[in-house]
Amino acid sequence: MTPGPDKVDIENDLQLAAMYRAGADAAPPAHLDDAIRAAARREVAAGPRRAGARRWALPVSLAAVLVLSVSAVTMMREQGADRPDSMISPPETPTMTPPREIAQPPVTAAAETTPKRWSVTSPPVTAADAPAAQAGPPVPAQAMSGRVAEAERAVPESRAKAAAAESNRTEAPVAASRDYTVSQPLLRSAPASMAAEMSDGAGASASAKAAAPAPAAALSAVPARGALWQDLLREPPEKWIQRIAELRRTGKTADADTLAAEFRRRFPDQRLPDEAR
Amino acid sequence: MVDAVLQPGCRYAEASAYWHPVMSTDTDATDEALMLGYRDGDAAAFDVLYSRHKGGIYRYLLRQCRNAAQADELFQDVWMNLIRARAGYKAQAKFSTWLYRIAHNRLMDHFRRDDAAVSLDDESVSVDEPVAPRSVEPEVSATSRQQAAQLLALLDDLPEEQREAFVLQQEGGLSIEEIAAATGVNRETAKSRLRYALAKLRQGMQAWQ
Repeated sequence: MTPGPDKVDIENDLQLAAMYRAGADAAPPAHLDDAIRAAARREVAAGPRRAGARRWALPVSLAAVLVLSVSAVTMMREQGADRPDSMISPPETPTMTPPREIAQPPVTAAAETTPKRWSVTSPPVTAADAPAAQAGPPVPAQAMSGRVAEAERAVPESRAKAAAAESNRTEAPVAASRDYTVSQPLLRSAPASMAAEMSDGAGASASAKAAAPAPAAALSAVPARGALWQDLLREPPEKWIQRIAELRRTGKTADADTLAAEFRRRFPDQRLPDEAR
Repeated sequence: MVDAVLQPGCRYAEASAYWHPVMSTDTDATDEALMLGYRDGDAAAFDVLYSRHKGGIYRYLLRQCRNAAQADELFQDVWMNLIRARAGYKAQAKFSTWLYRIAHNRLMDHFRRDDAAVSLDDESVSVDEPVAPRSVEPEVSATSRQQAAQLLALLDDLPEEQREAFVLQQEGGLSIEEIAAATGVNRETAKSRLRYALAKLRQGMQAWQ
């Protein structure tokens, strides 16, 4: 009778073991023996495994990542502090504003809010236009009007002093700042002057020299219409009226209209006589 | 009949010559001491270990996968895994248990990856036929070989887990607890598998006893 599983002595069945061993002579091939032994010797010859290095791998990696991150953040902060964007207040550009609005306040306000570094290195025109050039993409006219209005509220006296300040400026910069059409080439040339200033922050005079050609080049592109009143900038309203009347008499109606429009803008409290209309 | 004398670290020392290969560097050191020596750079210690266990590991793999070519590949992988793991070896358990655990895991990977390779219908199966001993001694009679062939045939008919338990006991000299540790099951499961395997083998070998 065959014993059941529960009756079997599983720890000491010598008879079965002997029968099993009688047929268990299979062995690995000799070439496997050689290969494995050779691999074992190579492993020993390669030296002890650097368990210590593996143990330190993770902490060292984390520390390296931390140091690099802190360094990167520090560098970004330092570079961000040097950027003029962070030092200059929001630009008060006359680019998109109506000519009447940009007449006085933006120039004065920008000159007051511009850091010393920029105001020193910029000639009068670039000082007024540099913030405008930094405005980047065009700003909607409504937003620009709002900014100008804010500037007017912030410096109410600037509007009152604007006329007097104009007389102290050179004719070309004033003309550029007053003429809406002139401001476009000025703005395009302004970044070049700013770049020159940024590359040489210590040399204020050199920067000023580098920036000087910008308005000159811009003025060279002033259309002939702007030249109509360049010689009248320091003249009283009567001279303007005489010039307008003279243009109409000679048949230059378009020039007369242009000059009349400028007269109304500059002297809103003056009445244009009938012969000049 | 050859009496089996199970000795820790050197099994079947009194078996026939073909069972235990000649070891020129045999020592009395335990398996664990030899493995620690190899871990610390003693290449000769590995030779002794390998000579002690290569037959048992190879036959364990051969009985389970039933394909000589696959057994060769698995055998090499097992020993390479041991070589790679030498730096982290700690003598926390019996070396043979650790070694057969490596072999078991490698075998399971093989089964999972290629189930078709273990099909009994595979023509490459070459284990069932008893192989003639390389050095046949006079006392190893024809009857003994026939008994061995019958036992191996019965062994092949066993479920895989029961066969594994029996082979681990015979080839590795593992106790029930060690079989459980090597195969990743609890003691009762290992004991049950081994008990059923022995019962079936004894029943099949009744005519020879």
